[in-house]
Amino acid sequence: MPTINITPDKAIQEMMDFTQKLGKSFKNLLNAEEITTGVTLKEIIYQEDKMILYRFIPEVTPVKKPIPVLIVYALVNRPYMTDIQEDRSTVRGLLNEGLDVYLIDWGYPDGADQYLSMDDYINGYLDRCVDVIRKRHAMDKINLLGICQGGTFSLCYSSLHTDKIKNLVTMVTPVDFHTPDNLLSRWYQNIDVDLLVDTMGNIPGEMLNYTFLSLKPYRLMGQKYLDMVDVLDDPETAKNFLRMEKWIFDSPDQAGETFRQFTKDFYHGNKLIKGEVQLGEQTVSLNNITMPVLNIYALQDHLVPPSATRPLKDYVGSGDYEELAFKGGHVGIYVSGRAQQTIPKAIGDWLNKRSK
Amino acid sequence: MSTDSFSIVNDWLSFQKKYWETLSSFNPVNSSQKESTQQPFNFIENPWSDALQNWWKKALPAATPSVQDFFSQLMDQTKFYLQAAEHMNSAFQTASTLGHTGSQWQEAINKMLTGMKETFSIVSPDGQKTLHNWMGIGELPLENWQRIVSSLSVMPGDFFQGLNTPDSMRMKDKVQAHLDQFMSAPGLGHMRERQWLYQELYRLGVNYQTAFQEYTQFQNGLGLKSIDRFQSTFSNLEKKGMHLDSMRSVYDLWVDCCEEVYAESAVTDEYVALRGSLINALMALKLHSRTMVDEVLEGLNMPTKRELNTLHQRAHEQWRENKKMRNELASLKEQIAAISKPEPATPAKSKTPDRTMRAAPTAKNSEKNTKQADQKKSLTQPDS
Repeated sequence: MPTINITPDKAIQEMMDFTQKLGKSFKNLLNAEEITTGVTLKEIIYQEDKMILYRFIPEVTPVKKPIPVLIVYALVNRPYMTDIQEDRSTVRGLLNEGLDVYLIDWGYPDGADQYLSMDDYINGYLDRCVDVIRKRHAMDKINLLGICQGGTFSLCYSSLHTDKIKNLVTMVTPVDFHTPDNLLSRWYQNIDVDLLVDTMGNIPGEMLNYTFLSLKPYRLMGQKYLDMVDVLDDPETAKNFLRMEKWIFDSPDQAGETFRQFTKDFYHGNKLIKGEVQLGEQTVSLNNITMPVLNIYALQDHLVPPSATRPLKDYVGSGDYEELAFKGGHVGIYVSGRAQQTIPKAIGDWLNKRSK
Repeated sequence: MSTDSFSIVNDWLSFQKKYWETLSSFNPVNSSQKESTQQPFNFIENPWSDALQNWWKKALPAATPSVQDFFSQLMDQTKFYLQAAEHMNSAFQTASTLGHTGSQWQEAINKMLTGMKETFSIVSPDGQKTLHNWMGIGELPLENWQRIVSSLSVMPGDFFQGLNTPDSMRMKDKVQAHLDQFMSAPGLGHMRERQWLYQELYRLGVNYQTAFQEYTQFQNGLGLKSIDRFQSTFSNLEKKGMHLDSMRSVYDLWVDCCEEVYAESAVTDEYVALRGSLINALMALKLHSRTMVDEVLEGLNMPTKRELNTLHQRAHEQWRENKKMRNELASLKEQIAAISKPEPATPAKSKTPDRTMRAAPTAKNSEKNTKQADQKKSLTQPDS
């Protein structure tokens, strides 16, 4: 077989086929109904400022596991990623495991929220949500599941409130911010974050979003769209793709003071592993984390490389630490078909063994 | 609306069909191996992508707002893909007149790529634009930045593009000379402060422009490196055990080469410094612009951003104080309730803790020290 087997007539035919597919895609996209996200029924349990604490209502499997689990999502993007569609929902998977699932939606901060600090988020909002759930279930301790930046917040929280957390699960969570393959961290090093926050107040979601897309610009902003022409002739696939697009570009601004501290302490100073992060009057020490820890990471994660998350085992004080490596990327760990089959079940099994 | 939009789609498809049939009839393969010379890269028109562009302009209003953004992105990529296919097809046409041996194909493609590099290496604003536009995706990192600028400021993202010059250093010197002259004018009288504000604005504007030009030059360098990588990969297809059997596989190879080169360059100190300078320069310019707007607002006795920030900060401090007091109050209420109950039914385990009263957590070092390293086990999920 020749290494190049393209003839002009074949190329023309290929382009013809492509444009026809494009035409069909357009039909399907025009027919696409309003894009809905967050598919599982949920109730509001607690609300404070723009933050809402939800509890998901199990539709099939009744709650079997007594200790509820609280999902702490990142401030970046929206938490409905964990419940994006019927057949791709980590939340639904956890419910099917018999877990009682809560989730914090941080909302969309505006200019009046620019002085919200990490202390306000972690020792304020998060702590109050944990207390609400503890009271509701008349329990001393609950399970915490932190995702990405929310995982880093969960580590800080668990370190300062050991008496309230039974088990800690972290997913794609950065811990060591100075590993050589962490491109995002490299880029942050030369940014004058004080100037940035003083200028912008809150950090616009668009800015964060395009920074993430810049990590792989040719694939994420170019090739991806052509790939989709091949599959958009199926109306359901078209709708699912639009749902993902909506999530990707649904980026809340990040409260300025929180961004300032997160960048300085984590990206610049790598203070989490040094035990130097200060929240209010307290110092975060990962060594205080003595509850069981399950650290889940994605092997092809370009935002939080495995090297950034795996060092957790060296710093936590827990004697019961486990890791779960998922063959996929930062988003695939929630939405891929393989993730649906494995991740919620692994979490359910792990928690089950430790919830007695 | 649906009927109309579908009719647009069908019209376009039938137009495409006719177009391809006509084009195919001029195909050198179909016309008895008629001699065809490869057109210089920069003179090639883009009939496929232009047809798509015209169609899209008409079809756009039919798309609902929820899909318009997405479709615009898709159309941009498709347009560039078709442009690329046109360029590549020109080379394939040449190759097909020569014969079908792999080396002849590669020679023709190499010739095309060399021609492209020469075109791009000519330092001219048009050359840079062509480079950025080649296969569309070459422009993405830069376009990305311009979108950020647009979203962060009242200026369009390409505000400074018009000031670009192929020789940025020459431009810089030229601007610098004017700037020096301007800056050297002493501020006088009660307008001295105002004059300084404008001088500073100009200085920061030039700083940003310089940073942007340096960033653009770096991106141009990436474009040339990507072509080199593409050419080298193309020359070694056989050695690498790769086969190209469609235009799409060529496009994918180009994306791989671009990503490879970008990944290598984006971690370098040079790129990190350039990116940092670009963002810092934009922020400094924006902050100063805000200061100037505040000056004007102050002059009109209107609220300024400075004042607003002060108010936000005070309100936030009060908010924090309120939360703290509310927590303390809840804690006190629970304590009183516990005291007033003669015999508590259950041990009061779930009290609302008061974080301000809480002692700093103690590190459980002893526990850590007694722990065995091998207690930390690792579960790696199977690939299935």
